[in-house]
Amino acid sequence: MKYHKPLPDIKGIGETYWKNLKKGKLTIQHCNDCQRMFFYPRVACPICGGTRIAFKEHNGLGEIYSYTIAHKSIVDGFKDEVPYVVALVRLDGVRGNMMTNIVDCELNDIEIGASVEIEYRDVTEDITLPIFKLVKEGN
Amino acid sequence: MSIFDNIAIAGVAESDLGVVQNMNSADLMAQASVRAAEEAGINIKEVDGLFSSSAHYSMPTVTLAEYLGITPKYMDATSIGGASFVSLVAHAAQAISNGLCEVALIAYGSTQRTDGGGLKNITEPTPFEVPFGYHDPITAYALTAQRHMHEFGTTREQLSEVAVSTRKWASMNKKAFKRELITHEEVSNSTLISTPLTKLDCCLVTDGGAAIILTTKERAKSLNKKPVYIWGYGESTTHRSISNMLDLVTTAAAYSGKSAFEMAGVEPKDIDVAELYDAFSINVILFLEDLGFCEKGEGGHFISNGNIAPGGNLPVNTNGGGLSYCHPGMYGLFTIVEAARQLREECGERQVENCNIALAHGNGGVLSSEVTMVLSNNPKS
Ligand SMILES: [Zn+2]
Repeated sequence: MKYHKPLPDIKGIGETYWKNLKKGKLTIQHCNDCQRMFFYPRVACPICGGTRIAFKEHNGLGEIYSYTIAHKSIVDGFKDEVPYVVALVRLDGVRGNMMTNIVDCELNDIEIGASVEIEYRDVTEDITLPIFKLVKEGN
Repeated sequence: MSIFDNIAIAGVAESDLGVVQNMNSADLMAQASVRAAEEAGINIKEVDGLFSSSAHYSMPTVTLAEYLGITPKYMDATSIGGASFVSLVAHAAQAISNGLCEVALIAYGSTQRTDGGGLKNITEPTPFEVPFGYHDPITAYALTAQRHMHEFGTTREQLSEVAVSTRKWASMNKKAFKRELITHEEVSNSTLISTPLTKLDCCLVTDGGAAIILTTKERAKSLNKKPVYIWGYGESTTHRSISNMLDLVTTAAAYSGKSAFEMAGVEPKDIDVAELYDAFSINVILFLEDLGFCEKGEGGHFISNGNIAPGGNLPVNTNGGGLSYCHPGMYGLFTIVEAARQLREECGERQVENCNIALAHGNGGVLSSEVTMVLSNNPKS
């Protein structure tokens, strides 16, 4: 299977995050010094500076902090798929935003503050991307 | 007492701008440099402090020294994106203050337009953004604009007004790349790139360079031009990638501006002209708020009804800015060039009356690094 979009370089402290995504698990770092969670993965907590940090499973629920609908793009694999949605998602209880795509919805239904949930999208043998969908009302 | 008390800007210049065939980035940087030295009345070979930043050259001050045949005593190639140059002028002033050099040259040049038209970009992709169609830098600015509209009711019309007002200034600047007046509708209806931003919300892609000669106040007094003085300065950063801008509607200009105003001993109401790095229309709204010209969230209202256009209460980007005058990849140094010319009353048709205190503001990355400088045609008393 050929995949034409840009792929992440997973080397670094974040490799655990990517390997867990491959297994269908979203894991976010938790700081045992300040008891807060933060994204992206680091060796020191950006909230308190603590280093007693561990990955913890997250339910993949959050809300849209901001979004944009790309109508023109120069990005490989994306330029032929306009319009597409790039969003910043604020995961419940997590400091920091996660950039992602919002998929499987009417563009008009997307709004800031909307609840979203993760969908694991296998794109290569090594990489599974965290994509998000709108949480349907009544769920 | 301030570290800038004994320093003055003695010369400012642009290289050829717009579409410059048969020149490379170093040529433009050097052309602006010799023009700035010539304006000041200083031989370029007297330069003993070199300051630059570049997306074209990995060691820009070394490249420029070789090109000009200079062996400087002091160099600094601060790399904080387009904000580097306002920062470098301050760093150069500190170096002169400390006796590390006497004649400082701050220079920039880029042929990003004739190199192929795209933004020359050395931004490293972050693994947490690159898989999602992130288009640097417009995706980032679109995300901030969308959030600003959501939180404060800022309108599409107000974004357009920034571009319309800036173009009015550009129409009075013969060096501006785009000079024909535009309407709100033309901005709103131009090609939609990434909601809510259209093509006319985005800065130009041009060739160009700029340079500034800085020296001691004593030396400057005996040179060709009316000296321009630095009263205050501040710099900061809140994030590198847009995902990590935790408050998408507040930039580090809130910190850099506070430092600059405190050092200068003035307030936003004292500023006669503001030159703000307008990579996108939303920048102007954000910076006017963060620098304290209006309350947070009031930026869209503040710029309305021609308030920052010719004849408005606060002239902003009187050269036509990055939106209409020139934007060769990194625009920062041009904010100081125009501020100096306004303070020296050299701007002809677009000259702001009684212009004695100016603000220049540089922006780098994706609203990542912010640097503010307050300048005057009088020494700080
Ligand atoms: Zn912590």
